[in-house]
Amino acid sequence: MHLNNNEIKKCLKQGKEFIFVASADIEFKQNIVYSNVCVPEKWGSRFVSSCLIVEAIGQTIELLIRKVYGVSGSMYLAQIKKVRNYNIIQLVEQFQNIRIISEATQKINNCFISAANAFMEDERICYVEIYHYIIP
Amino acid sequence: MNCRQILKHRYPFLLVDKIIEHEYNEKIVGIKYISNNEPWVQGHFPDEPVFPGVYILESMAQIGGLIFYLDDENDQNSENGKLGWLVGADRVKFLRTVVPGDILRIEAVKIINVGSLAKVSCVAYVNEIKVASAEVTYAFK
Repeated sequence: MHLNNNEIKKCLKQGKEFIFVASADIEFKQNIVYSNVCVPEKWGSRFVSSCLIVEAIGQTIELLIRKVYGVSGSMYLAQIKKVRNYNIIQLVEQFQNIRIISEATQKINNCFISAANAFMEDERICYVEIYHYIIP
Repeated sequence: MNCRQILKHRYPFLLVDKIIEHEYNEKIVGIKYISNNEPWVQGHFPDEPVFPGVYILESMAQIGGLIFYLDDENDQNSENGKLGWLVGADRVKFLRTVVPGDILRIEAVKIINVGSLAKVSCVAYVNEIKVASAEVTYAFK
């Protein structure tokens, strides 16, 4: 399933000023998601922070959770088990070239456990293991 | 300690307002004021602003990294200017929401410093209530 930027804005609870996913492709059978990263419209800076790659990964996985598991209510980022930065990204132009590929997401009770890598061309720049919780 | 002179981060990613305690190579305590006038407020979330968890992590990482900065130009033996690159984080937990008006107080304590790597334990508080914690790893050139 392909999601464009407008569909992503409808799917996520964040406002358009804080959405860092340009487009996404969800593979339902494999339970994984691919996405392309962007800065929001009217981004007032030439710079980004490494924390935004983690946010982009979190939003990418949230799309998968909402589409594959049909979660429509609120979720929150409860834990980040592991972050590994392999390169430093500081400029918007670099950030917009990032592609995210998730690994399979598991659901345990109200918690979704996921992992994902961020790449710039063929170079891995970040790895994250993340826990999302559903707010009952 | 003037954070603006030391850290290269600038608005909107300078996520430390002041350092209130610094014990070189051991411990640091910093403050981040959470304001309604920050760019994330509009989008995270539109009806109910919540300081993003990844920004808490970034704030912890910025403050924690200053442990290894010796703010003493007269010390000939110092490693003044030693700033780490954020290479990893583990066991990051977000326990409560942080909202505009809150004052985030971050305490960071060195766990280990071996060769060009260092690990720091960070805890964030609002009104003395723990809101987040993390272990942050830095690499030095």
